[in-house]
Amino acid sequence: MPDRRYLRIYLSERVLLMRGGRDLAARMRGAATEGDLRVLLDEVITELERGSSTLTSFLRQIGAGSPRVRTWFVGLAVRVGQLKLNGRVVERSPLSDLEELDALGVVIFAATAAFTALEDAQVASAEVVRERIDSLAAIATRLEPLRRASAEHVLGQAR
Amino acid sequence: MTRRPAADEVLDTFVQIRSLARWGGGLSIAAWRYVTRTVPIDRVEETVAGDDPGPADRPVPGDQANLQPRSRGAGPAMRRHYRVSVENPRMTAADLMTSICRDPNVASPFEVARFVKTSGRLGEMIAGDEYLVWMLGPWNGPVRVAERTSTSFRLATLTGHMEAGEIEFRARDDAGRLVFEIESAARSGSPAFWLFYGPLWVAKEGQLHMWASFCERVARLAGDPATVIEVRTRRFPDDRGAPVNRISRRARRVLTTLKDRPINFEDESLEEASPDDGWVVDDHCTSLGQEPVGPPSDGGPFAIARGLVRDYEFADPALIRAIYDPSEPLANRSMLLEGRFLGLRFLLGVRVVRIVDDVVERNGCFVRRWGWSYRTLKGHLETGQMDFEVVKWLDTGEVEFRIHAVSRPARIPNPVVRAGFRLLGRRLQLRFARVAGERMRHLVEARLAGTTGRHHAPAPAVHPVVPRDAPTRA
Repeated sequence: MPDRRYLRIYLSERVLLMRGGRDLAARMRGAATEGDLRVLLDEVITELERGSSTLTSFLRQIGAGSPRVRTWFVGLAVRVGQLKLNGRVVERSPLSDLEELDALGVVIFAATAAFTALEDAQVASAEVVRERIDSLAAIATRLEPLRRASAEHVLGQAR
Repeated sequence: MTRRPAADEVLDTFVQIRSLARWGGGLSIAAWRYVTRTVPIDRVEETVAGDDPGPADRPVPGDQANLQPRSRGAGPAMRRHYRVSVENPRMTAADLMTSICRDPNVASPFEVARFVKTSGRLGEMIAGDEYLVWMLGPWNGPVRVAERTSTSFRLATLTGHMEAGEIEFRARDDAGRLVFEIESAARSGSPAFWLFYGPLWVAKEGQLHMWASFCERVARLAGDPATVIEVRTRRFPDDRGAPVNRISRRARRVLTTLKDRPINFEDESLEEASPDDGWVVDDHCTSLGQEPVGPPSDGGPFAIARGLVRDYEFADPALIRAIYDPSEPLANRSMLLEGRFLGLRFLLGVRVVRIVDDVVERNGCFVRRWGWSYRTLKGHLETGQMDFEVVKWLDTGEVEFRIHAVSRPARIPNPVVRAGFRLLGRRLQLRFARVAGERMRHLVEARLAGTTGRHHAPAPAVHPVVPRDAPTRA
């Protein structure tokens, strides 16, 4: 049997990343007021769930399980992140929106990179991997203008 | 003797304890699910004399050395058939099989079996891929994907598996329902396994639970819980499996070079070929029986003959057999024909150049036809093309097997072979066609009657291989 130790570690970590991203997106979805953003976040949640279930399925096929304990810790870390005040104590800080969009952009970029790495290494079905890359890329393209608009809105006050 | 580091010993002990804990946990869960099963199992068991009439010992791509076919097993041959119907499916048969092929674990009861891929890409299943099925206890089951279609896949057992044979998973859309079936044709992998399977009964019951649970999960995946699982077991104490033939090293070597070999005549249309141009044109036709008027019926002579033609089973292995890689699609497939005459073996390269699968009009009648053609490659003793077709006259229901051959001798450098071919080639050519027609008729009749027809077909003509030095995937 081929040595799949590194693949297992890589896949586990990317599953954690996507589950953390999904939790973050779910939290943002709860706080979002704009319709466009809510729709997009719904899609982000669905896509990250699909991505993590695809990687979990790959993990199963190499004889490893889903990283359940570490997933719980990631969920905890996302919740702890809520405690960051970002300049306001009582109300939600507008900077939080930007920070979260930044973080989500990084998660989607990393998720895309993970599937691209699998595609390059030719360890997984090209069709399955390409499907995920295309979906994530489409979401990233739509997320970026929202992130930049948020940056302009929040940071523009400093002009 | 060097002493192993203490850390390695601790790790080994941990792995052993974990495995034991998994087996213990798995066994407990499996036992619990077995006794608390709510979906009824409709069982039928019978013992049948003679050979197993169903498909068995079919071609498997890849290295033949580590295959574990039925002939290498122990105990009687068993055919087990599991079936579940999904009344309101939310997906088609093809979609369901795509999901299962992407990860068989979606339907596998994790406490009993887990599919771990040992060769091939994750997230897909293609012929030649290999899995190790982790099972309860110290016997994991290595298998290789022998065939994959849009609605089915077939696994063949490899050395060390507790069974020897094959298992097919298939689904079909049936008037608004979705029917999923698992069919295995196997013997126990060794006398020890047979002890657990037969007299001690444990393995047989465990296997039933495993595949019945698989069917239940498939039904849930398809959108509707199963109401009943049908399990039919037939025992064939007389059947010991088809004998295994070996492929010579020379044949393997030649097969690897075929892809680069050109066709050994100018690329010309042979539709109008005639003896005036030096071609020998032969047409042979054998009646295979009658079907109801209209399109070919399931399991009828046309469907049976089509499978035989696809797998080159019409050729008598005493005269000729085909060696090829079945994972290569039929279109453009390079095949090595191993001709046998007077104890000599001739390796003849051919390439599939055409597949027909259509309805055409002939003499004012519509004909459904399926078949393929090959052309001879450089090094062949002849030049030309052979067409093999199964046709059904839609207005009368008559099914025929047709061979159309256009040939002329190739330039043969070896004077002895050249003289021998001039003397006997034509006679052998005609004999091949006559025997192929007779063999097709016998095989179709035998399969319609529910027997294998092995009296007429003592060994499979087809011996697919993947060359050992063929590039492998990650």
